[in-house]
Amino acid sequence: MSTIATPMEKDRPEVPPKKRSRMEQEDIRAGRLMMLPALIIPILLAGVFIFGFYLTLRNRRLNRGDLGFVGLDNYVKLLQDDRFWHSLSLTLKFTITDIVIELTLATLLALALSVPLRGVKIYRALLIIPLMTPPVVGALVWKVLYRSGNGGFFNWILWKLGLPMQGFIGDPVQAIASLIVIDVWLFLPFVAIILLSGLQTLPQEQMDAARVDGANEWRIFWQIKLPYLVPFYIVALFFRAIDSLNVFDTIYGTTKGGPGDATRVLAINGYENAFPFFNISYGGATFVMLWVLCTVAGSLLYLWVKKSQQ
Amino acid sequence: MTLRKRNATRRQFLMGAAGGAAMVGASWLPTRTDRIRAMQDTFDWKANSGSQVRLILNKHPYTESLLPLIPEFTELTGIEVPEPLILPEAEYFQKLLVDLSTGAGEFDVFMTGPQVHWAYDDAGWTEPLEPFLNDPNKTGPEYDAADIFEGLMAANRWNKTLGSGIGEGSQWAIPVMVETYAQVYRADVYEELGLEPATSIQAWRENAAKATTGDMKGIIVRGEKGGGMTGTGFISTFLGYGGVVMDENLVTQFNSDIGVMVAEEYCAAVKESGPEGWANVTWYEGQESFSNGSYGQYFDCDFFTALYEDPDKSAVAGKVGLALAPHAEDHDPVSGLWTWALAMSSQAQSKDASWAFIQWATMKDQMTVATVEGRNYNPTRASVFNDPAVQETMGSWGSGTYLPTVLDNLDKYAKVAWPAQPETTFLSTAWDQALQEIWAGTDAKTALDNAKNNVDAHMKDLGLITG
Repeated sequence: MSTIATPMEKDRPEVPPKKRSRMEQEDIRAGRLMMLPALIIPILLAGVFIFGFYLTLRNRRLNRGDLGFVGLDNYVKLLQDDRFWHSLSLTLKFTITDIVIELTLATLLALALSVPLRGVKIYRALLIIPLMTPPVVGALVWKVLYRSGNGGFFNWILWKLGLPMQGFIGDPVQAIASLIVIDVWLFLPFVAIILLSGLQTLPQEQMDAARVDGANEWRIFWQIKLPYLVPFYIVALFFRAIDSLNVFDTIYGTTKGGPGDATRVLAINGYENAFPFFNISYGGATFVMLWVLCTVAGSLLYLWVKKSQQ
Repeated sequence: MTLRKRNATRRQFLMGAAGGAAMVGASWLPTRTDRIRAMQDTFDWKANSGSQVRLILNKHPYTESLLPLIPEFTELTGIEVPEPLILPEAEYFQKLLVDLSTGAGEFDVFMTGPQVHWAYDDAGWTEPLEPFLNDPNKTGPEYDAADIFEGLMAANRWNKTLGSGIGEGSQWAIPVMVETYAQVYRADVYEELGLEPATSIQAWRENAAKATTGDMKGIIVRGEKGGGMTGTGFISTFLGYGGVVMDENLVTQFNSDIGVMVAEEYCAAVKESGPEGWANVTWYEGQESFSNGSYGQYFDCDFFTALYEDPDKSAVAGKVGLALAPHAEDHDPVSGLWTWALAMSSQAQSKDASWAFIQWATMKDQMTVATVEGRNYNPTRASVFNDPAVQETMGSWGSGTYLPTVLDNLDKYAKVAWPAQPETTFLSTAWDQALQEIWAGTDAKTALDNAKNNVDAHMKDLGLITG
């Protein structure tokens, strides 16, 4: 593209390009080197993903080697597999129920912890305990609490009260609900802390003005606090939705997908195919589908954010 | 399998050992120095000095009994053994699978057993051991492989023929402990209620119901999918009724009339008289629950009795009895069989050093110490099994019913229960899931038919069955 010099530029004396000092040049070089991880890490991440996807296009068995290229056969088979649809349905139910409960309870918890009462800081500190617990450790602790017979904590209480003991994670009807309880215990503090941080930045003047105008606490919550918290809810929702769709360790540490297939979510289904059943390609296809699901969920949330900003 | 009563030809180190030795502790056992000195005289244990053997082991009483002896191995051979990786069973098998399947070669020697290592043997991940066993330069004259029960050695041989060939072909692993399956029941409760140990599945169910009294439930069995749930008491009963898991073409048969009947009775008994959350019961939960007195019977491994009879750890010590698995009137009882065995990875960095370790760990001296001091029951060597101290300990268990039951199983009734093929995990998991579904209320025929179709489709997909 040609440029036309303005008269002023014509008149301007030519200034030789400023020579960078050695120190400046070293800074630039160091800066470029420091940029390298930012370039390499995405390439590595993409490389692993691409390799994983490539594996799903082959028929690779851990115990039989590579049985050749099969194209999209693993995906076709997956879509015809009842267990996949069962797992997908279960994953969505788990995620939706988990998130609704967590957001509701976290709102109540955050509101309670935002009241400046004596000792509230201790409660806030206690709240962090489950957050610091690795999910699989939390799951194992809950597995003990849920144990059958009077050796399990909850059943011991029921037994002491003369009430019938329950199967909890060992009962096909109660298993998924029991797992949601574990997940809520693990991640409720995370959501509550996000909402609490939102509540602590609320404009106090607006609430004071509302109170002067005679608004009750319920109306203040509904019309001031809640709208203000929407971005915080979105952040929490984003993380928890992706986490819940990918749930694995809580379930693997307790039921391994059982009883029957009552808790066989997508990640467990994929893992079982890939490792115990040696079919790494078919198991990998399940994980690619899970990735698609997470991407769709993430994109929908992103669109919601954009819309709410408008 | 026959248990031979052997003369104490290799028991110089058991000086003065007699029946009452166990009562005065294990002070009669040879010292570490004695053992090393005695072994160095007869074989060049230093041939692989400077090598390294890397172990991955399952968390198990055998492992606990082996660990304290490992420094002796290093002293004897000059072979270094870095800190072994020890994992709980499920994680152990996963880690091992990843190591073997990727060819990472992180471990040289590992623990395994018959139906598990078929998948490894078929894939070429395990090293055949007979070239080492049969080479006098690699195996010392004291080793005496014939002292290991032939049935247990045979259980770890396979010629890779699908559906058969167990006991033939290569020796893939050397057994270090054996378990069979038996009804272990509360003899005091059964006596009080006037119950006899069941010989049929119907009587087993009735006994369980009758023993459900007060705070006690009648029965506990494994219920966790993928945790050996169908592989112990259940499969023993199924086979005792003449059930066939797979036919010679590897077509699944566990949905036969016999399979449906046994599954219905078994699941009904657990539903009526077992734990509420059965589908989550692991072997160790069952063991613990029975030993604390919560259940009238645990139908599982015979050697768990070692824990039940330990008064420091069990509330039922001196109160248990053992009986063979239920079976059809016109059929002998059957017990499944499992041996923990040591195998070598085909990726082992020094195969001679790895064999030296396997050889040393499965010798009489080590197994005797592991059994007497480390409670490695049931030992796989006749000389150790028949050792007076070991016999006295085992003889006292189950009010005298332990040894006859285990010997009956080992002599006459125990066999590898699964058909020889590399997809046992898929097969057993599908069966596990079907039982969980039946327990939860699904019709037995429907659940087993679905599981059969699932397994058959998988086998066809792999080209293991055609048509």
